[in-house]
Formats: sequence, C-alpha cells, structure tokens
Amino acid sequence: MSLLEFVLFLAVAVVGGAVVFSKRPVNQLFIYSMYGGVLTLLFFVLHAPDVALSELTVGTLAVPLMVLVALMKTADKL
Amino acid sequence: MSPRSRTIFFLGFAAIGFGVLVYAVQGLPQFGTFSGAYSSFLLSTGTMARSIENIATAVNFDYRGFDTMGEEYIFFTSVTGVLFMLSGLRGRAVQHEERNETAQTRGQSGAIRMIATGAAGFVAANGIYVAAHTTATPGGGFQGGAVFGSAFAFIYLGVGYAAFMTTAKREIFDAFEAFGAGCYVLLGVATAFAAGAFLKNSLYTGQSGAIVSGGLVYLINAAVFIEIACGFVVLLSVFIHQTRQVQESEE
Repeated sequence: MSLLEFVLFLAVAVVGGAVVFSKRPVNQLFIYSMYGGVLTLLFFVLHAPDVALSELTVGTLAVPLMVLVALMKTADKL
Repeated sequence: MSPRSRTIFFLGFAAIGFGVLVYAVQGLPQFGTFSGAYSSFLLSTGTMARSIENIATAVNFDYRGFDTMGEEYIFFTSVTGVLFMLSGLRGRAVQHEERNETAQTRGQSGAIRMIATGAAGFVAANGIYVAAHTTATPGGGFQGGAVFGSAFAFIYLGVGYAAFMTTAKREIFDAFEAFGAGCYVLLGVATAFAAGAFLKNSLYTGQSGAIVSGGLVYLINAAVFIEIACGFVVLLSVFIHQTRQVQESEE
C-alpha cells in the first residue's frame, strides 16, 4: 500500500467519523459532501475511475442537494 | 433498560463484531493481488471477443447484461416512486406566489450567472463525452448520465428557479426516461428473435479502441445514458419544485 493510499484511507476514516458525530443536520450534510470527495479520490487512486465518477456526482452533488431540499421542507417543524 | 446498561450491552456486542471483522480481514487475499478465475478469463478474452477495451463496460452490458437491466429498472422504479409520492403532495399544496426573480432581488452578480451557465454546458458536454467513450475509456452510460443530469443543477443554482423549470420540462424528460428504459428491453427482445438469445451480442463489434465499438453494447449504453440522464433531471425537478411549495395546514 503506497503512502497516498494510506493517507486517503485515513482521510476516509476521519471524515466518515466526522459525518457520524456531527450534531446539526446542515453541518452533517456538508461534511457528507466532503466525505464523497475524499471517497472519490480514494476510488481514483485505487484504479477505479468509473466508480469515482459515479461517487463524485451522486455523493457530492445529488444526495446533498436532495437532503438539503428535505431539510428546507422540514426546517420549520424541527 | 437504563441507558447505562444499554451502553454496556452495545459495547459488548460491538467488541464481538469488531473481533469477527478483524478475523475476516485476516483471511482476505493480499491487497491488490486478487486473481479469480472469472476475472482473469474476462481480462484475457473480453477485448478480443467483443472489441471492448473497458472490461467494466463489457461485464455490465454484455456478460452481465441481464443483471444490469434489473439494476436499471431499480432506478426507473425509484424515480417513478418519487414522482408518485411527491405528485400526490402537489394536489394538497398551494403554490407560493412567484417571487419576482431578477438578478437584483437575488443579490446575484452577472459573473455568477455567466460561470454557472458556462459550467452547465461544460458539465453536460462532459457527461456526453464520458458516455460516448464507454467502450474505450472508463465510464459509461450510468456515469455519463449522472454527470449530464447534474448539469441542470447549475442552472438552478446560478440562474434561478424559473429558468430551471423552463429548461427541465418534466413531461419531456419523463417521456425520454421511459423511452430509454423501454429500449433496453426492446433490444433484448429484438436480439432474442434475431440471434436466438436475450441480449445476445451478435452485431458487428467494430475495431477495438474506436469510439463506436462493441456492437450491441454500444446501443445498450446509449439507452442507459438516456434513461439515467433524463431520470436525474426528473428527480432534480421534482425535488427542487418541492422547495417552492408549502403544505396546507393539516390541523
């Protein structure tokens, strides 16, 4: 395992933990988006550029956007 | 059960679970050295037999074409489900009065509009590029479709709601989504009659490394691209439409 892979694995673990332990949903959403970015880099380094592309669009854009809309809808009920 | 005993209960099982996980990881093959019989077979024959450089595409749309059809319909069903659920809400919802949406009221500079519009075009073109080179380079119909669909988010973010709703006409994209999904099955049925087996790749596969190669795989890829791209746009438009609705008070 190269140094780059090691650093990225570590980053995925740290950012993934941050997603779980963040309290406010809005903060959590943006950390989740970062998590998608780190995961994209990891997939790319592990020679899976097609998976990286899917993760980039779904993990950093589509899911956060939809959750954001859901939060907007429910914000007054929280 | 008190919170304290619940925590102890959890920690006990978490320790057991972690132990099992560590034991399982010990038994995995060395990192990066996996060589199954099936994968080495595909890697050695896939390019020769189907003129496809990108073996992931060959597996998805040819060797495992039937499974991918199921996956495609999972996506199709999800989009349909979202449409049904949120369209039901539309009946009970009242429309916000259209806000007067100009660049001035949004406090938006011309640079934001220009960059977002440019980025939308660039991202859409990139999506088509990724999908078109499915047999030659990494990527394919799903990835390209997702990238293409995301381009429409730039229009909402940069230009505004009204412009997004004009561009992403839901009826048109919904029809094209169904068209893409149907084409996959129709291709399968057509090959079943013409070649004797469902999704049998009996078309001329072309030259390996060329943009259009792989025979039937390229057609399936195009159908998947249309379905995913239009499905993404439909999802975005349904969700973004929701931001402009308030439900009637239910009490």
